[in-house]
Amino acid sequence: MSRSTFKSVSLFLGVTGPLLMGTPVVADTQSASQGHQHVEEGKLICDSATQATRFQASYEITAGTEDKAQAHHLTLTRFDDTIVYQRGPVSYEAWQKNGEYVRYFPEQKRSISYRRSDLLALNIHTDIDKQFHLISPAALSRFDKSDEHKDTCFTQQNYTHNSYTHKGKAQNQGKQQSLALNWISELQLPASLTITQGEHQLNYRLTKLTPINQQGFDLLTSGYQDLDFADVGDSESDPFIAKMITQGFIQHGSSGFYSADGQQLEGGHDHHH
Amino acid sequence: MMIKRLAALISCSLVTMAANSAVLPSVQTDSHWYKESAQRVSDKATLETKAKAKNVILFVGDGMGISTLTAARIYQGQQMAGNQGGEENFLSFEKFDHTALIKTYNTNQQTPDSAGTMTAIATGVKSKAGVLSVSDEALRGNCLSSKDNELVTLVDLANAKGLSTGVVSTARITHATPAATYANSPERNWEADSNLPAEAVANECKDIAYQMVMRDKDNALSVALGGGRRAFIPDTVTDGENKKGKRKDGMDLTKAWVENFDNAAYVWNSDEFDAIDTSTTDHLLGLFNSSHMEYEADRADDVGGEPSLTEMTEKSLEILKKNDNGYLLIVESGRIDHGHHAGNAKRALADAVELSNAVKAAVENTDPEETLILVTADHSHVFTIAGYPKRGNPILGLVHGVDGSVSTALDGKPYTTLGYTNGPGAVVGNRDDLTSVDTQDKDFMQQSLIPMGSETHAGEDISLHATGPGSNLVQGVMEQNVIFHIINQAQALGGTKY
Repeated sequence: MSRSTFKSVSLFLGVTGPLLMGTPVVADTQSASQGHQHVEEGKLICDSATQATRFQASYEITAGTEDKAQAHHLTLTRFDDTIVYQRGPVSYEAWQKNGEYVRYFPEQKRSISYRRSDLLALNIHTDIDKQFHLISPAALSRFDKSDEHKDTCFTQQNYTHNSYTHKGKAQNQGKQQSLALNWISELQLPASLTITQGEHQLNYRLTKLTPINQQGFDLLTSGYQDLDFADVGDSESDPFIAKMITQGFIQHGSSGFYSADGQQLEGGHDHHH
Repeated sequence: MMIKRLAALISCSLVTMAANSAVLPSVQTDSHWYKESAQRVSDKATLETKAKAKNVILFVGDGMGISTLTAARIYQGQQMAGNQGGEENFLSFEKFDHTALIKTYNTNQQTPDSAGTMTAIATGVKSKAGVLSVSDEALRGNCLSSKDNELVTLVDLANAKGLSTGVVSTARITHATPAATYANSPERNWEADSNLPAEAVANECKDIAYQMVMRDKDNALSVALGGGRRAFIPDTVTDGENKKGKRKDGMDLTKAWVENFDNAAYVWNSDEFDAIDTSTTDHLLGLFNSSHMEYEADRADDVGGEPSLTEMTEKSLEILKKNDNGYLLIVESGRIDHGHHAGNAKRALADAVELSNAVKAAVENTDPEETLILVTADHSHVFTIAGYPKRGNPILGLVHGVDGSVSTALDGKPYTTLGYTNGPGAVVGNRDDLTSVDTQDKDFMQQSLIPMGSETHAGEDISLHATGPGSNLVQGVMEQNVIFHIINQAQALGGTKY
């Protein structure tokens, strides 16, 4: 996927950087089912007892062209005011409703916490609604609503949307972009999402949806030695932190904070490992 | 011999006078630059400084190197009505009569950290990075090695003399700079008991928060204001801003503060802070954030509400002044450092300006005949003021030359006046084109050269500014630990053994 396509997609999605990342890994966290589970070949595995604020959702993501597409997995774990994104074994990240962000490194059992002002100081602006729903629910009003149907567990509403990306100097900008969304109204989450721009396509497909309880969530986030991001600069003697300082916790600059015409990109941060 | 010298001196003086009146044209002598600076020198020539200070206030701007002072004074100046470009402005303490350059290195590091530098200031002894008021004989992070290597601090000495003492910071009050003034620890990160390793527990080292609160009554702080609430409350307790404590021993040190000391109070937000009656409060603990307090630029967004550094300074003085013997107050602006580490100049400069405001408030609320006020930093940052911007060019803006046109680099792109040698603003590959970017935005991250996740400290000298009794000792290029000795001498703290 080209950089310019990646930027355009970021206008729709809360988190975009990991789309460029490698190893697909499904999260290994415990979940507790209290309702009826539906399992059908090739279809969404879901549990009718899943609550909108406590769930674990697995997505299969493909990105690229028909000839050359990359596949990834993403597990979203929502527990009240926290949502955790797991994309790979090296690290995963959590967003809080108050705008705070935590990056977890499971192998080292270390985590770095960013307050909202830390992120702003790094010029990272985030739409929290997007982080919690992949697509901001408020954006749905701009989409064309089509049919609605009841699936095994939930009601799904279809949307479509066509738009043109900002016209700029960079290659591939100013092109038509189309979006097809299958939205689970009860959970405010996509069941499927396809964004097409030229020959590039990005597809999210929800494959499994289960409830999660406090115990399962704690397994994901507890037991970590946490450090405030503000303290990173004074922790160079810590080998783990020293390594992360030189590798970069969050990459900036040419990774795309600004489009070619100088516009600051919404949610345009990029996470590297 | 003596007469010859005197004659030569008079002769030279007369020659100078004659030359002045004969050579200088009115375009020179009538210049406001000429007249104002001549007056300044004249004032200095008649300056008299008392030797003994009843009170001492030490301000420390964490990471406030000299380039930060220059940029902050311009930043503040450009916001003043009727400014002539901003460069002519002075931060409040830059008008002090006495200034020195300070060498900041630690005993083991060319470029220092805050723990080692503040140890030098607080104890008169340079030590290594990462340790708080223990000598460099101790091993960092090793409790046993720190035994018998603890250093007596200015706070200890002032309390022993019967003075009142206070520590204020916008960082966590257990963070390295404030902590070095009241705690002895071989590891700056031992802020709560949950940070102590088994070796430290076995050898009975105490965490920093514990050391701050559980002091003997006659060595207690009268004022402790800052962030860092989590190190003072149990990990089972959720505070008023929905954050959990970090103590595993179950102690609530905020309660201990109120119970241990007479006329003591604990506050955690600006409303409670404002409601404190300083006439009836002798020991005030204020912990306004779970971690560091907000940047000044973000303070209005804080959940619980936080006082400014100026307000904390003023409230502290109201309490400390009640002691007729005098006081020692140490005030840190802790987040200048963090703004720089993030490569975000605007937040760093806004905090530096707020420090200047706090110093101004201290000057206005004290008697200059009896109060020594010192302003310094612990270390610098790799923060630069570059290019040839025209006079009055916005300090956070792109460089525009004297002819008003935007200056470009060899890559054809414009660049900002302010930048960093390293940090998160660097890129691997081509740097961003800032032509249409608002570089004066609060969240703009300055570009830098070497890509690093966090911008680093710098090793060049920082400055020390002083006014009041004993300030004449501030001159020349000095080791950082000399600051302790200036305070010790001016306030007669009796620190003859460290």
